[in-house]
Amino acid sequence: MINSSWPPSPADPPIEIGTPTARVDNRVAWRPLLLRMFVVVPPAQVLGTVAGAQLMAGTGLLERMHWLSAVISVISGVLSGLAVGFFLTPGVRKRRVFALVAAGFGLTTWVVLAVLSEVRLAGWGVEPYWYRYVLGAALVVGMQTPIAWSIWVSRSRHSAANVG
Amino acid sequence: MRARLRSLGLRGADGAATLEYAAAIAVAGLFVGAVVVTFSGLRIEAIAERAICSVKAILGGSRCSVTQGNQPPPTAPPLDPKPKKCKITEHSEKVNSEIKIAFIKIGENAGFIETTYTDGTVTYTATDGAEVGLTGGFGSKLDIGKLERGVQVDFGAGMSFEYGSTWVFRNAEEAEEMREQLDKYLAEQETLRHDTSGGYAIYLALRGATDPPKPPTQQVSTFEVESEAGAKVGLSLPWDLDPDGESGVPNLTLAEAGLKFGGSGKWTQIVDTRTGTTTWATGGEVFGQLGAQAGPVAGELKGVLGSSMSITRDKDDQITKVTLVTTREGRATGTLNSGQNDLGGNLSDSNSVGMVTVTTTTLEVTTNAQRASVNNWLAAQANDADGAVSPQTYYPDRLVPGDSFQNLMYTNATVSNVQYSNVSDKQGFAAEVKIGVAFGVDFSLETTDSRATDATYLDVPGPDGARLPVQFEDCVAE
Repeated sequence: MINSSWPPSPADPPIEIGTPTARVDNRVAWRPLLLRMFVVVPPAQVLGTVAGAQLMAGTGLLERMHWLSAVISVISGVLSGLAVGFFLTPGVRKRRVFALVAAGFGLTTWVVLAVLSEVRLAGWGVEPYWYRYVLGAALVVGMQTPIAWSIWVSRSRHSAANVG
Repeated sequence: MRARLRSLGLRGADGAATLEYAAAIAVAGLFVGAVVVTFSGLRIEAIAERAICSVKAILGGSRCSVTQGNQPPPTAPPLDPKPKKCKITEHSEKVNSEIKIAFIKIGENAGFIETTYTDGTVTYTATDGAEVGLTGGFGSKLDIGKLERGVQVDFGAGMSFEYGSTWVFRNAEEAEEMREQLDKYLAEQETLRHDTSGGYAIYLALRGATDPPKPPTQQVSTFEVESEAGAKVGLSLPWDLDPDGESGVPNLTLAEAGLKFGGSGKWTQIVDTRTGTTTWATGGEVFGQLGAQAGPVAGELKGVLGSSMSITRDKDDQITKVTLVTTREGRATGTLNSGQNDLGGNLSDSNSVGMVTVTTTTLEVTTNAQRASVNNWLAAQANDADGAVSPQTYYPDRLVPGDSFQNLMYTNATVSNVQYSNVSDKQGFAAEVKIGVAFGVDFSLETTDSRATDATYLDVPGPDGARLPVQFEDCVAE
């Protein structure tokens, strides 16, 4: 498909002239991708959860307004999104795959954290309550994906502008 | 290194550096560690404690938590006549959403009555908001009816305790720690219950939750003894039921005059989870004080406003303590047998108007011989006309020949007399003392409209054989 719009957007791949036989490599290097996701997403999420909870609990807001516990998940998702956005640099055609993988990692990390938490809380006599993690997972993934995506787009534009 | 880190973000995701592998291994290690701690972390302290004990044992030290054998049998120490403690202050502290934990909609009816004793001991007694706002002493804040109904005090966040449950602390700092811990625990639990996204739950699991406060030291319950009550409720009463009585109700009677305990059939059982002791308490009634029955001691009993008795048994069901408490009109000074009217209830004495004296006689039963004497005394109450709880028994300032239990009280009991002035409602005051006994609380209470103005305790017997009163400054509020 030839991009007929003009002038071309900085986000678009550079138009390659003179090499009609050249093909863009759409293959994803899964192993390094998964490895990097593993290094980036779980720590960012944990860091975001702790930072968010400290912020909420430290200000005393959380204890007055319990619904603000959702902010912890939002902060976790934001930090995770920032980490994915800045530490991974997918090509334009690989962004969706990267976003899906990041979402999968975010979800998996959240589920693992939820299980560990409930087991630990059960040890302290707290009744298990799994449904609360559903909203948390949605918030984490819901914040992480668009933030990472927008960072990728922004960085791509920035680098294209620098090249231009 | 910095350049390598910077390159991670810029280089794209097509290749993985050695650093990334190392980081991945580190993250995986952290997760494995988290899992291990999660599933076994709760027992780490116990494991560590056992390990330390084992090392101590190997090094020749004593083994932990093991009773040292071959200890010499305890010998009865000489009597220290000064009573161990005497309540000096009292105030209620309301724990509710408006005051203590403002952010939690809990504990609308939850509160503590905090009591401080001269030995530094502090007690918290669970009560509800209906009483904590009231002025007055301990009894006015506690409702014996609620105790009998087994009312639960709801502290919120799923935590409730039986009405009248009591925590005993060594000092004010320990009590303060418990209250802070309770505040923190309730706050965490309440936030956790309303955590809709799981973020706080994860945070709490990572950080560690606050432990719930320890269970109450004393759990209080009240029951009424009916026929075959012992078999029905499975309780071990502090003495055998009257074998000759048809009702089977413990029945402590006096032949001539004195105090009759257990007549109402209402008993309070106080289980101390810390020491494993169980205390039974009941009220007494003056017997033989009416004019028609006036005898040698009838006049001395006229001024008695109320009385209570409690018997404590240890976990092996051995009697360890006997306490007799009487509230009388009049002054604390003098002795019953010395003939001073103001301690015996001379109602016409203008100097004793508004004055009430609480006498607490406590016998710590430490030897088998003493225990046998107490058991004999208890067993004799129902049948033996001479086994009276006489004034000389609850105020043993002189030896009464031939009365072995009275002699035991004379030689081994501590006796305190605390005098309160400006008591407008003497009957109410006496009722409060009774409730205090029922709740397992020491007495000598200070109220808003009455003050402890004088206090004495009986010294050891002097050369003339009399136990004379000694000033007990600790029991007088500043």
